[in-house]
Amino acid sequence: MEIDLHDFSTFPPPARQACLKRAADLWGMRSLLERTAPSVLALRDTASVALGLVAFGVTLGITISALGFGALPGVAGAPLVYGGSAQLTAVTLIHQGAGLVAVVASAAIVNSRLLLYSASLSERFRDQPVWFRWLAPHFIIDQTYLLSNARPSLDARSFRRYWLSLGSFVLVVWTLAVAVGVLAGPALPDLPYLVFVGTAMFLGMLAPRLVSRPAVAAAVAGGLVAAVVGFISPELGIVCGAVAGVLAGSAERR
Amino acid sequence: MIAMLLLGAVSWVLRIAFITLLPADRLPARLKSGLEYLAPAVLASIVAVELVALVRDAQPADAGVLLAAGAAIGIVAYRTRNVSIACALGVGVVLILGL
Repeated sequence: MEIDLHDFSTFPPPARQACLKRAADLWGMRSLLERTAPSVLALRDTASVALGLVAFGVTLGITISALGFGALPGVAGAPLVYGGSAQLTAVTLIHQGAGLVAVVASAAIVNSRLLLYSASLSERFRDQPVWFRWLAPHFIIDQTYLLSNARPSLDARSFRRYWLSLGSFVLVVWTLAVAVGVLAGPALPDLPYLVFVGTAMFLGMLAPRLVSRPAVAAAVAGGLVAAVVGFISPELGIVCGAVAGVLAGSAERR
Repeated sequence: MIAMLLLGAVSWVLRIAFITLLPADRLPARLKSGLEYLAPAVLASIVAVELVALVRDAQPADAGVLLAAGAAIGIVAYRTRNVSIACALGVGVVLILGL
């Protein structure tokens, strides 16, 4: 029987078996890739912001150490609060002798933008298991929100894997950076503008998002309002800027 | 430590507020659609607040360098769309100003 390369049934049995085995191998590799892809994406995304995270984390750790805050609460606070600005506010106020209620309330105001992130991410958590909807939001911070926001095409299952991986990776990097700052702070060289690396990271995340007039309007209004409010009251700057930016973006779209 | 635990709990409530406690699909449609612009708004806000804090505490010459570097990094990031390059440039600026 003559072999027709376009007709599988004309292949001799050993060749057919080899082809089927090869197809199965390729299918297995594809399945493996599909299984690991969300974690790989998360790892890649974490790596892209790691320098900024480490710089801010080490700066926070050095500040905690310089203010005489204990190493244990300083380092444990990193994964518990999981928010550098809020933890920095709390540590500074404790150092200044503020009461517990004032400390927690002030730091919570700094973290109030988490409400906006929560509302924005709500849809992606809607079809997830109950345990995920209760526990996984702990991973919401600026970086995880913004990185996941740039990956809108993940389906529910892939998003769950991606989010858990991303949150865990970022949490580990963040906690280690704070620990290094707390424990090795006095031995590190004095870099007064180290936090600028974090600013550069956020600039790097902002620029590619300026793709439409409403997005530009949101950024300009948000930046201006945040700068003015932040100059007077740093803890309110970001949330006021975020609200102003959302309003400006919506107005520009209409 | 108690402050950290309490702040962690309060932050967790803020995080689950519109996911678990009051799902955002019950929010007004206009508010939900406006959240589409939250990312650029909050990013610009963070950059602005951090730059204001840095510049306010810096020597005048350093403040100028930081603002110019911020603008340059913004342009590079817009062209390359690469966060790692932006971070690396930030490290370079910090080392130049600090060493």
